[in-house]
Amino acid sequence: MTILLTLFAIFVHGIASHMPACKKINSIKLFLLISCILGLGYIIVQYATYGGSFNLVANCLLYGFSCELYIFIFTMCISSVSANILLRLLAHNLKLDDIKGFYDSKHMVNNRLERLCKIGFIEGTPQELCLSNKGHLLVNVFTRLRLFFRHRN
Amino acid sequence: MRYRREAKLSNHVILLLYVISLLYLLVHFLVYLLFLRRSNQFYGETSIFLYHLCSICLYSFVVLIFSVLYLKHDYLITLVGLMAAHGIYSLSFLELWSLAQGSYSISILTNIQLHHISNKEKLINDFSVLGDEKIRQRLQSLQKVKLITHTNQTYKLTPYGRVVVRLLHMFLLIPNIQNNG
Repeated sequence: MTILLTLFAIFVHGIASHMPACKKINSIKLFLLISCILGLGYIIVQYATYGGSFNLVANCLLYGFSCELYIFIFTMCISSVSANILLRLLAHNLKLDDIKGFYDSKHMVNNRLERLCKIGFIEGTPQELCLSNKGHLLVNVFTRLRLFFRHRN
Repeated sequence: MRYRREAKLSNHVILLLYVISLLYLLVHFLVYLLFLRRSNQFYGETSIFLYHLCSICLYSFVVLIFSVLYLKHDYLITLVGLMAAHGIYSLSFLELWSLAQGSYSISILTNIQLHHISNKEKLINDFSVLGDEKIRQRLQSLQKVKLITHTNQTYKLTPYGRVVVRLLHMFLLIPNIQNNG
């Protein structure tokens, strides 16, 4: 039942993503909204029907995990260099120069900058860029995470 | 009467399992926090991934044995719920770990923060060098995990790689997302 609910959330996310009204909303936020609404509805119905039980807790945990897994997979697919290379190889075999040609690194960086501007982490003029408050917050959080995990440069 | 007693006992056992599981996850995290992250031997994606994978396998095995022995009716859903709890913890940990390690976007943002205001052209030039290196590293990683092969100067998907990529393709189609790399 929980897996069906997750699949239904993914299906609704898919439909909503194609609607013009929802195209302005970030995909992750859209899925979070849909999955939270469906999850909450599911909890209310289950609780009203069967009362509180450990089965409900287990189902909520399973639902949470499956939604997180879906978000992880599709965010990886959005921005992953590896995913892009693999998808191109699905179409046909490639030489290294072909991959570099398809995947011009200046174009890649430019795309990344545009996406960061669109999300609101970067602002400024077309020639000069600076971080927004949101961007500063994100960098500070990840700097702390780097220190926490003791990542080396 | 007997059924109510059994159900009550079953609930106590499940509650105990959940409490022990939470404590186990806390200990697992504390071991990493206090010992493993300071260790030079325990560094890198493989070590972190194996630390969580072995934990999930051992944890699932113990929970399964315990559930089958003591829970007559609810062992499967309890097992699944507890595994999902560990799954949420491990997935969140691994996502944060890998993002903090070397996200391309975070590197770009950190560079801009360092310089306060960055010239876009210079930023693109600096990071495009990293981009070439990134492609080379990615190709090596994909070969290492046997998703692609490199023969006669040509890269192609392995049969296993083809299955994985078809699934990935499906995930991109659902939310109507363009992969920009």
